[in-house]
Amino acid sequence: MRGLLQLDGVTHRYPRGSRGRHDRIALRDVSLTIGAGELVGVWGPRNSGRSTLALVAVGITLPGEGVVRFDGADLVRQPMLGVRGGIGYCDRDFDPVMAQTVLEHVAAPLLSSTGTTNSSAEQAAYDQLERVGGAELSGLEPDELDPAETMRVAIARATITRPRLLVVDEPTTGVRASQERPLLRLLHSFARDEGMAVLMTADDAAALAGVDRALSLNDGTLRGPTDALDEEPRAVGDDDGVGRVVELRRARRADA
Amino acid sequence: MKSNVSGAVLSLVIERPSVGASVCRRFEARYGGLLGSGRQHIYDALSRLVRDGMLVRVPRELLAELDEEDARGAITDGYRATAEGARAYQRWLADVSLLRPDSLIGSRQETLIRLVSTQPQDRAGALRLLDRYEQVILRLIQSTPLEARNLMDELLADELTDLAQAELRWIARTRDKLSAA
Repeated sequence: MRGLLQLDGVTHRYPRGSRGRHDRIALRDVSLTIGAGELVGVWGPRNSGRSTLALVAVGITLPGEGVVRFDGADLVRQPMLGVRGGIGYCDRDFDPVMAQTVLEHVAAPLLSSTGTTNSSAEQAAYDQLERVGGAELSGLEPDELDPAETMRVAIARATITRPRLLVVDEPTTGVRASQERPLLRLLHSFARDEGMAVLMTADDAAALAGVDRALSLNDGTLRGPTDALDEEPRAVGDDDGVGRVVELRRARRADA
Repeated sequence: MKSNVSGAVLSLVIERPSVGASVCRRFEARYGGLLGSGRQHIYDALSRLVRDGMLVRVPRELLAELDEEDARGAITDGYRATAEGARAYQRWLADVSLLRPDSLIGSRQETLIRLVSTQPQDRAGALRLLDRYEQVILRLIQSTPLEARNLMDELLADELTDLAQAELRWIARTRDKLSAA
């Protein structure tokens, strides 16, 4: 079975200097496959390429080299509201654009992409805010939210169109310790209960607790089990002491 | 060869053929905080390695480099590694079966022992070691349950992930230095 999201040999550079010499390489030959219902966590220190990976995965940043496929289709070639409509993305930067309230912010993707009426979009936004445990935030303005509330609202907005892939960049950065786990449980629930493929990046290793696969990103190089768990099992650990992908899959099923 | 003391002793002799007293001094300087081992254990390891064909005795006059202390006082023969010893050393460095996937502290110690036993020019070997240790840490974090049974379990899980986070950052820094060197 192929993965829902596939990155194959992705390299991305940011030009530095007027002549583009000394480019900074954000991603180096990154390959990664994520299947439906899988939650993959990528840990990386500052400037490791985390956010670039998230942006490339959703097609906002087009990689200089390599291929990004969503459900088998080349993401780079798809129209913005076609394939990418099946992808939700959120980060910790809350940019409400024209929205005055949280409710309007969450409802916005429905109004801009599907032609839904205002009232049904608002109803859906209420439902989605309830889903993420943030219904009481609906009437607030963005600057009244704390970091955990901001992330809940961002997740509600990113998932209101029922995407099959959710990419979340640094969900726990700036969040109080006591609020981290509820936020992570929310992300887990989208994978477990709704079958979304979820890719989460983090600079806080604690965010990787309980994920299906944990990987690291250092200086643009992705390390760890990069194949989807539903892929044909491939030994990754006979010579490195960390077990096999197939064991991960069994462990996950045992947990379920 | 499963013994870390033997592996460490072999590493020191490969780095520089030496007399026993020099091996003991260098062992204590390099592994003091990692491997608690008295002189008798080190001499036992030297004897074992000779018996197993990994080291051979050589007259001290033939040792190319004797430090000042050895040159002054040593009257015994020295040790140098055989080809079989060099192979056993490489196997020991690459043997990560002792990196226990359920123990961060134990895996950390095994990694550090092997890292300081890696010859300085073998950057690729050091990087491989770091890669393996990182995978162990990631597996440990991954296996931490999100739903703790109670607050104390959650606090312990937090402690583990904080330690793991510190190790991941150390690995990133070390990898950067090794790559830049």
